[in-house]
Amino acid sequence: MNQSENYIIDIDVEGDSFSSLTSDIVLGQIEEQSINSAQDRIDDCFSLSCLPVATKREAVAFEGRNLIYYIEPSLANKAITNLPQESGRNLSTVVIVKTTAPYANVFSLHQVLPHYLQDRFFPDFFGIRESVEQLFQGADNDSGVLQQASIDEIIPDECLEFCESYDLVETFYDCVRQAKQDFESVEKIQAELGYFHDDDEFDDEPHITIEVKVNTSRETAEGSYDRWLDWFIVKVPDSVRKFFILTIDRG
Amino acid sequence: MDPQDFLDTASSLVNSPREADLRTSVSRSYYAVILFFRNYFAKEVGFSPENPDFAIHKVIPEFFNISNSEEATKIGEKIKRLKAGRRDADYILSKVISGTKASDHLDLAKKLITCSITGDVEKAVLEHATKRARVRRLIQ
Repeated sequence: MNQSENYIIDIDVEGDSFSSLTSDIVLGQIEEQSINSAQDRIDDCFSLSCLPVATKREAVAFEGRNLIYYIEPSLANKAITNLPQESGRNLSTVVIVKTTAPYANVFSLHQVLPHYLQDRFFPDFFGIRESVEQLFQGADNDSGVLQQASIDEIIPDECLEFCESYDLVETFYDCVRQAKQDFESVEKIQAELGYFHDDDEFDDEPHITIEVKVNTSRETAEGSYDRWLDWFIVKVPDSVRKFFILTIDRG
Repeated sequence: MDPQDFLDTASSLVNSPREADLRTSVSRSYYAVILFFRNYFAKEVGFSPENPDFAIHKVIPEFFNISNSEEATKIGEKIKRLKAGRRDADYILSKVISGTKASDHLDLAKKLITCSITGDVEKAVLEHATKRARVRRLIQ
């Protein structure tokens, strides 16, 4: 596992709850009926705990095997396939919360929200820990994930707030993820909420500019851009495309 | 004046050491394209290119954004990309506009102006543009 990253994994197994504490992984329980309320619970957990926070945008959730929120695709697929499925128990929700700083004090979280995380140590009945460790070891070995982890992403909160208000969060992250996939030698991806200041046009349109900083030739960058555009046009409806622009910075 | 003359201006400034010149180059690259297509649509669809209701910065990319022509939609998206660059060049002085960026924008502008929209794609674009022009009351 990447030592600079810590993960909380909450697994809700119908009819039971459990937790396991390791140096980097905390397993607990979230059981919510909808992703919105699950997100709110995650927000509550971290805001009350005063830990270096994972924000909503870094939370991911599934219902069954259906991805209902954002996650790196390679990690999502492994999460679905590697977590154990015991007979008689349905894996209903997996929430993976990634933070960018080590937990200062996991126990403060336990103290604040005992119903969220239970500080119990018991045999890992379902092989969760092993599966999780395998999951992240696999992720570490995945060159695609490693490459993505090393790209500097700058995504201001105002961008996400805008996306949330227009129900564009998933599309936004899809655009970023696709850019990472299609462009070579990506150094940085930076999002920005912008308005077009057009002379004589008074209806400024808010939109998100996603700037991909690359260290490649123009020809390579434009080829990558064309690939991304091919995806963008097919996958993003025209009513939504107007909210996103991808630009290239070759320095 | 031919809008493509702006490409000559952009080209003359693209190697300047002064950032103000590079910003001007980026801006002129965009205007070469937007005015080129303004004149094209005005002529083909049938409205005055200097119609005060013609919000060209918004409408030109809109004319190209049609779901049944990927080729046309890509043109619209590339115009948006130039538009974003022009916005930064003209208004966002905290950003650095490099010679590479000016050169890339100039290259993209030249490609857009020289790309040929023909056949079924042109027909689809003009049909869509005509509908949009009616919605915007540029034509009856």
